[in-house]
Amino acid sequence: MRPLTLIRPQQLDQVRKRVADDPGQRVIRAGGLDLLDQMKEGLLSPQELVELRYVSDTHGLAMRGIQQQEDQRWAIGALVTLSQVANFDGLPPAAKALREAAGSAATPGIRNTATVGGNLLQRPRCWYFRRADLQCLKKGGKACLAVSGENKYHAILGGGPSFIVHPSTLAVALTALGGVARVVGDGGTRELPMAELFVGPKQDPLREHSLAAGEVITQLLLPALTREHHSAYEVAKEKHSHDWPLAEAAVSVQLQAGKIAAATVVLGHVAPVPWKAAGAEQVLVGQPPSAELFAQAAQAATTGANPLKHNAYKVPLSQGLVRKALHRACNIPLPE
Amino acid sequence: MTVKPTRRGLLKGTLGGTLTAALTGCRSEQARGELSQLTAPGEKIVDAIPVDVTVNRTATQIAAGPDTTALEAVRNQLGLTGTKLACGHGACGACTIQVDGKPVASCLLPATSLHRRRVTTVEGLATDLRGLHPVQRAFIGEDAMQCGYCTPGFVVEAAAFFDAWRAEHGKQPPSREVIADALSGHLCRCGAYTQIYAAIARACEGAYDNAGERGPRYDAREKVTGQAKYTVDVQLPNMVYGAIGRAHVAHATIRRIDWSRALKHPGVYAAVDLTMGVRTIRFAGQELVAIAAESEAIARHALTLVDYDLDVYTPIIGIEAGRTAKDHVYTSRATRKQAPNANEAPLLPLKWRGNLRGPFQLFSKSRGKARRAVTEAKDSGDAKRLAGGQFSTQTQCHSTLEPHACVADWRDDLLVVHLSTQGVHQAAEDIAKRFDLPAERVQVLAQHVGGGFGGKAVLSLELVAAVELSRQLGRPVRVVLDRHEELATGGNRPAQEIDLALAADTEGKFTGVQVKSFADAGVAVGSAPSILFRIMYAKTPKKLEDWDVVTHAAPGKPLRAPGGPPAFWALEQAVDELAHARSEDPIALRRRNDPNPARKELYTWAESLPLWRDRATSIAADSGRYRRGVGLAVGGWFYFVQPSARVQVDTTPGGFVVSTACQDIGNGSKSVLAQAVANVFGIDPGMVAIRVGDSKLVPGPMSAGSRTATTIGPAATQAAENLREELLEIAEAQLGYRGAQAIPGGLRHSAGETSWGEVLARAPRLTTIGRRKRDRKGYVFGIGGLAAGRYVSGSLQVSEVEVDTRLGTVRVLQSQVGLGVGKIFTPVLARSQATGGVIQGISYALYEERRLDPNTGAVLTGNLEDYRIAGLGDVGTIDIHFMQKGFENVTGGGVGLAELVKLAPAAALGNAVFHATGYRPRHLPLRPDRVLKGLRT
Ligand SMILES: Cc1cc2nc3c(=O)[nH]c(=O)nc-3n(C[C@H](O)[C@H](O)[C@H](O)COP(=O)(O)OP(=O)(O)OC[C@H]3O[C@@H](n4cnc5c(N)ncnc54)[C@H](O)[C@@H]3O)c2cc1C
Ligand code: SF4
Ligand code: FES
Ligand code: FES
Repeated sequence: MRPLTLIRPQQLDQVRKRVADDPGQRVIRAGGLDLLDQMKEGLLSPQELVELRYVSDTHGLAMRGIQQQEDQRWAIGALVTLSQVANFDGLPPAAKALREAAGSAATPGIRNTATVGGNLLQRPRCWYFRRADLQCLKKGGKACLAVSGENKYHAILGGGPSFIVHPSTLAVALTALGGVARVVGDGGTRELPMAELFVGPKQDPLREHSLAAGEVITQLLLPALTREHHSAYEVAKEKHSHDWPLAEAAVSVQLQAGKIAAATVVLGHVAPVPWKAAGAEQVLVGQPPSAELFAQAAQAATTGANPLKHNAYKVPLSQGLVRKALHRACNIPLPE
Repeated sequence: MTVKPTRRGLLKGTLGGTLTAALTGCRSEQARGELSQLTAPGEKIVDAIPVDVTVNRTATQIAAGPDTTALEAVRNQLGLTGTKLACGHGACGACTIQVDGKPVASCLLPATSLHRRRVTTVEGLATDLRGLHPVQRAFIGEDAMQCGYCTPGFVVEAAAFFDAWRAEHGKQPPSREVIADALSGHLCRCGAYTQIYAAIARACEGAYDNAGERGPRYDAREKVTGQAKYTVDVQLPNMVYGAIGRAHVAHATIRRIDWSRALKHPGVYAAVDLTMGVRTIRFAGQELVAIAAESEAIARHALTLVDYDLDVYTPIIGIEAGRTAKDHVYTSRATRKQAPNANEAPLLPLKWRGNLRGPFQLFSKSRGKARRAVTEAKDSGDAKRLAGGQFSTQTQCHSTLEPHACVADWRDDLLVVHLSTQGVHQAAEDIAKRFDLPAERVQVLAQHVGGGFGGKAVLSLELVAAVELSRQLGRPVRVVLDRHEELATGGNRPAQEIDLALAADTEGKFTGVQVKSFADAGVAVGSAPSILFRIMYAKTPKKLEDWDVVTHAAPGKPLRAPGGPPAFWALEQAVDELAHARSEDPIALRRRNDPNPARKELYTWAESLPLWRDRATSIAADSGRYRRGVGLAVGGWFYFVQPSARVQVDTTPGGFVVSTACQDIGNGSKSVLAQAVANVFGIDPGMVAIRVGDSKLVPGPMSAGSRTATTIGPAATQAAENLREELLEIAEAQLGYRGAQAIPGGLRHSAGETSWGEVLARAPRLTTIGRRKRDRKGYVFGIGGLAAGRYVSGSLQVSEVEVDTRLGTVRVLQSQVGLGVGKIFTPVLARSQATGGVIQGISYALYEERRLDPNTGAVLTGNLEDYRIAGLGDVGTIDIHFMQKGFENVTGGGVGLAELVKLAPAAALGNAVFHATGYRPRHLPLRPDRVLKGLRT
């Protein structure tokens, strides 16, 4: 067995350098859940774990808190746990989708230790990927095993050559709310919109995000949200007790003078990245909210869907979720 | 009926895994070179850092390696084994601990993150001041457990919930939804959810603030405090760890297996060959080698160093592939003999055609008549006379929360085997035979067993591995399956395809049932469900045909009510279909055709239920998104007893001691024994000490085939009655109580009354052995120490569901279940077992499904996220109604119910979905994708 070491730097830069020096062998550990999950499965055997939690410089403080900045944006630390997000009632009502998502992901016992940063950067749950003895495209193999195999939980949108669905529930809500990741790297601090943080398999089938080795997410920023903004998160699962999502939808709309001035509709667990449903957004913008409009938007949300053999059911599922989320966000009772 | 057994069935016990017969000795080898010094159990060879942590109010230090989990630290370093490992991946909650008062899944929590934290495990919930936590008392009082393996996790999370709830809401009771959300991360395989809800709600209300610490289940206190020791908790001095190397492919021939690299690895001690001479790999997960090392991590790592030289072929996966493939899983007569038995009944010789084995037609009745009736009904073109079609059911895994586990200690004079088993006595006999030892040199121990459901009834290869390795090393060896191994090879209920036609005349009298069924039990055979069609609507002519389709998948095993759920899924929906086609009440149709006396009573009961009586009269009465419906289905099951079993009762100056070599797998054996003896003497069961789980005790029954309570209850009663007579004589003759007569609690005599306690304190020690008296009218047959009773039990379930037509989910709102099983020995426990079985039935109907990759045969559902088991929020309310009459000729007055309760749930839900929506589901499980598709067509 290869020796494994653990280091606990107190400066963020030490964390970054340590990992950047040997990215193949060293990984950053936040809550450590997904890392342990993968190591137990034999998917990952690093030589060194570099703890993020002991960082105590100014970044360390930033990573641990939820606060409103001077520019009115809310900053959520990357080391904040999912339960802290779900239970934090200081966030504006317009950020409801994020709290709902954080409170719906995983189980209470996981949410108490899983971090926001780790949640966004966890690896996919594809059942071929998670078995060490199966070698698929995402692990450097030749083919996606799901295409000719069992693909009930796979992508209907944006798939190919890998058909994973992005696992992060928070990512769906953050994308809908226009969230941005604050990333510290060699060149200093930069802000990365969700759409740029996540990369699809066409860009790189081996990874799901665009961070360079040693780059660290310190905070997630929510744009200034006003009373005009409304959001909601919806999920479909097989079970009512803990279950991974079959499909998710998060929506955020801005209502001005009785009309939808802006809308973001994002689908989760249907595509390799949080899926912005541009079709739905187009239907909504400029219109007064109504049940008919929402039904149309829901239809349009899955435009371009190209299901595999076993997952066409995700199309109506996603549509149902979008509809429900829109109704809830705009506080219009569902006519059913 | 003459039955010529060719191989022993489960009811006796055979060797599981791929092989049943022709076991030769294992090739094995020991590591040479230096053996590194043993470190603390489970510790890894990595740099560990000291972590200061307060555990259960005591400051302590643990040594945490970088990948040590909090669970490992707590269990292995601190010896707090109450916290359990079940899935290892955050999905079941068994490992829950509190960190600074918050519940967390410790199996994915790095131990280093406990630094300067306050940890509370199940062992620390009780305090000197208050005794047990109110939630622990409530779990005891409401009987919110069966095997108890999940209990510490539930209790620790529920206690945190309780503390927070009380602080915020006082004694207001939380709703079911709130409780379900708070405990959504926990799974209980035994299905104790009904009682868990009650325990948490009532604890919050304050009902247990000052309650006692005893309840209806004999060993409940041990279970809620984490004191109960399961096989996985056994730690012996000098123990080493074994792990099993398995095939990663589903079909191959073995050229060579070379473990030399593995043996050279530091900390590795020995290896044994588990192929037993078979050179063909027939399923992914097949056992090939076992390795012992100083820690489990090293053993598992060493497995990756074993070199396999294989010729790999395309596997045959699934029923359709099995029927059509040109290749055959078994290519010769000799290899077919290796096919394990998937069922409990002995295998009869049947023809093979490629991968097909059958037809098995033994249970047909007036075959020609049945066939003609179906043809005639078909030809009539009258839809009111014919129902049925093709039904299918999925592969279901046993997946007990305590995995298969064994700690073997081969000593010169005695082989001691700690085993998670459903039959300590049987296992000891089988081990003696397997390892060629005299019976008295084998001892099997199982203090607590974390569930069985049929999966732990036969010897399997974790035992062979542990014993062989221990024999070689002269040290105790522990082998425990992980969740993936458990789900891949721990046992499964075969997938089934059933073509069923039910014919009736214009009056609604059944004229014939025709069934052709195909089972995919992987490499196993014999999973014939046809007997169940035979016992239902017993007078109707039947043409019944079972076929096995062998495929490259792990062998099926009997799973609580083998064959039952698939058979009743098909039959009871067809009956419902016919009733609707005839526009007739489904009960009226059944009553006309069902001669079973137990169910006749249940029909009358069901008609009085508001849930049934007030249901919508038309199909798909709701038109909105959510549609509710009510469905009804019935079941029937045989009953077995084990006349060979014995129960011993001893007196000591301090009380009674009852002993028998049975085991408590959550079925409540200990409580049944205590209650039976307590009843005879009219004393509190607390005065009775129970010893089970040790093969050296008088032979007890296996916990399988719903036979335990009906066997040991009457045997214990008999022993106690004899003892009471003896005590009376002694009281009279030796102790000077004149005219002594037994009264509840003691003796009445000329000088007054004396309690049994006082009598025992003065009486000499006595021993009696009881056995179950024969049933008044005898048995249908008896083989190998097992007898099948004459009576068929009956069940009836009415369930209400709500179908979300947009998301395709089916939610069970409530179930009313009537059971005709005669007298109930321990009512509270019987209710727990019944609700648990119904819950397993619901879980099977809605969620559970083992999936294999169709190309490679790899198990995709090897964890408890992808293999879905119903949780607290998934089952609705369940009420059990016992019909306690009708089994007067049975000794003890009652028969078993463990399997009976598993039959009706799926069909009741299927019929309810039809009632709600007009869509008649035919395939299980009732997944959202299927429901959505069904609703659209
Ligand atoms: C049973 C179960 C159910 C679950 N259900 C859900 C669900 O429904 N929805 C959902 O979204 N998730 C779910 N999860 C996933 C869970 O939320 C994640 O595993 C968890 O959030 C990971 O967080 P962590 O802090 O432990 O990450 P870690 O394991 O510490 O890290 C994960 C990855 O992120 C990197 N990383 C972490 N933080 C940073 C940072 N700040 N900057 C740069 N890199 C970083 C690490 O290097 C690592 O590669 C579930 C998990 C389990 C076990
Ligand atoms: S979907 Fe992606 S991860 Fe899954 S098998 Fe295909 S390539 Fe591998
Ligand atoms: S063992 Fe930790 S959640 Fe299952
Ligand atoms: S009591 Fe819950 S798993 Fe057995």
